[in-house]
Amino acid sequence: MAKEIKSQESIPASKVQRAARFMRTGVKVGKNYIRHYARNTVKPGSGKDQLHEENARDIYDSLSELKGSALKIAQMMSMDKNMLPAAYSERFQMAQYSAPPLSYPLVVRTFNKDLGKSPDNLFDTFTKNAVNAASIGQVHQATKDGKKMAVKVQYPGVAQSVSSDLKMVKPFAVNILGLNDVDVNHYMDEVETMLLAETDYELELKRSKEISEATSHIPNLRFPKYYKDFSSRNILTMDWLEGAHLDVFLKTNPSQEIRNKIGQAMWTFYDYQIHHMKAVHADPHPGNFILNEEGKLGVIDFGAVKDIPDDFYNKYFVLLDSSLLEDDDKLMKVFINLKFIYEEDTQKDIDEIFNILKTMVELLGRPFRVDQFDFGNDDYFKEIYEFGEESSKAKALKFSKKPRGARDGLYLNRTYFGLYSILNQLKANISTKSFWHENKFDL
Amino acid sequence: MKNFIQKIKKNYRDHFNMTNKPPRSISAFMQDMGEDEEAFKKYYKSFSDLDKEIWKDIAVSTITRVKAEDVYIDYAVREKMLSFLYTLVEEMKPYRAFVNYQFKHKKNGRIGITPKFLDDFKTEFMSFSHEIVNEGLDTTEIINRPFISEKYADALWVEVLFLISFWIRDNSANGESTDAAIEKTSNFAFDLLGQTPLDSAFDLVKFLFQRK
Repeated sequence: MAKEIKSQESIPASKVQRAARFMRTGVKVGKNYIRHYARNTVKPGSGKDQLHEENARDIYDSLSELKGSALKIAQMMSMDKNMLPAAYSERFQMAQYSAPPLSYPLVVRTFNKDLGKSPDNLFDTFTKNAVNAASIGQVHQATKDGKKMAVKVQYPGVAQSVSSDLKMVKPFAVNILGLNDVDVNHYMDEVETMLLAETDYELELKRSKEISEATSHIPNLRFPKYYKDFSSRNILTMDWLEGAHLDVFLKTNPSQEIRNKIGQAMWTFYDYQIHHMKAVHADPHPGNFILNEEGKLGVIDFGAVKDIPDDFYNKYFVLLDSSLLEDDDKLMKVFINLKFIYEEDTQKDIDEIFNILKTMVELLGRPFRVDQFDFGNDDYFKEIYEFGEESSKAKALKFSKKPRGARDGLYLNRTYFGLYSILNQLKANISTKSFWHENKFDL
Repeated sequence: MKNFIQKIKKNYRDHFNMTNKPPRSISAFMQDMGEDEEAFKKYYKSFSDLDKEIWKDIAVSTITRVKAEDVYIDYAVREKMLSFLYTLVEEMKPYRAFVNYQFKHKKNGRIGITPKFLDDFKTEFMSFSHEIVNEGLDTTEIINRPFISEKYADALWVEVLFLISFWIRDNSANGESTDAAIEKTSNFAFDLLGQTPLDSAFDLVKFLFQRK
């Protein structure tokens, strides 16, 4: 029996074992730092990049042995280029496609428990091995009445392990990645809520219906049809979309025209959700999209949904108003409103944070201030990464005892980082017309 | 006759499910059924005999069910074992109180030591276990190692014992933790039985040693 995806030697079972796994990472990363400092004494200036690279590899190796939520967290952190040095995030992005498979008997058991029938009874054909790994489950291919379907099956106990996994990741994130405690807490709550929602496939089914109906008018966008009768809390059945994930798709050298078409669909899809629907679905990581040579964008994951409260929307997206960049007083007011800056901060901190934020607003808002934007322009992304590295060193942010920015902001930042990063990989040159203009803001 | 035995077993199980303990005495138990002790003694000497047979039934019906599945012949031995364990959990479900009681009151508390009431269950399982180990050796999914190979089937028995104790203590929704435990212990067991780095290490050491 050839196994396509080879099972891991062992999957850490109990919380203790998993904690041990994290500790091992801690020790290894410590070792890398020692190596780094040793190297630096011998040969000053050997870049921190190499250190990041080594740490990222160790952290990734440890995380990839954990299934479920820890893997998901790695993915999410990988999205947030803001939070992680570039080397970490590149490594983490690999986590998006690899997780060890569930055994077929367990798949059968899940079907029997949830739907009362084995997959062989429900479908005409059903692949025994997973054709794809999703972060909290795996995908099988099935056919029914001549129709090809994708069936997602969830790992058992994922929902229960979310909270305990997060508790383990927290000190790890604080100590090893050098993030500040307050930010991490802030972030973790948000992540936990979302992860729990993601483990509920019934909810996902409902949302997929809502969102695909609401955005069906956007050209070049397609959604799979979901099958309620073949779905449950742990099983989700949908149409099989032909096409490939981003990395594979790009290897086929699609023409600029096709890449623009897909990029445009992606931009409009997110823009419409954020600025018109005020709810954003499906965190934009490459695993959630299926692209094809006709230039159609398939969206296959509706796990994460974030409602954007109106008052937050207004406070936050007023930042896209370009007149703000010429009026520091007004801009300061917006930052204070958003709790990015507190009035009781020291003047030194205020200055430092203000400058960082202003740069961020200018950088991230840039596509909005023009009609057409070339996301293939690597200089722009270099600027973003450099800014990310720079701001992660800022003392006022790093040692801040207060959370900076509302939780909702963290989530939206991630969405935009993810979106921009995919558009960059696509090298899409697109119209960045935005539904933002529909909204009214008071300054 | 068969019906009568079935009735005894069912009433016995129901008694556990309602009271979480065995009947006070054979006569009291039979009286509730409207029968006398003699009728019971015709088939079993004691409750322990009955216990053993119920366990044996569980093993037999589990193995029958597993083998009846269409996919069974296509399974790798790892999957055959997994399928056995998932089905076992299903088969034990109606006997939850019975199993609980037996495991909590067994004389030998240590994992790996087979309690008396599992004697016949073990015999049934071992023949299944030997069957899949041999098949695994044929397909090389399991590696033949001198002296150790004979113990493979016993190792799988220890896994079964462990998982029954795990299942008893599992309070997770839908027994999801047990599912995860089954998956993980089986992967671990079969990874050990298959080719491991230790085999090549041993081979290397042997080679170096012989060249001296």
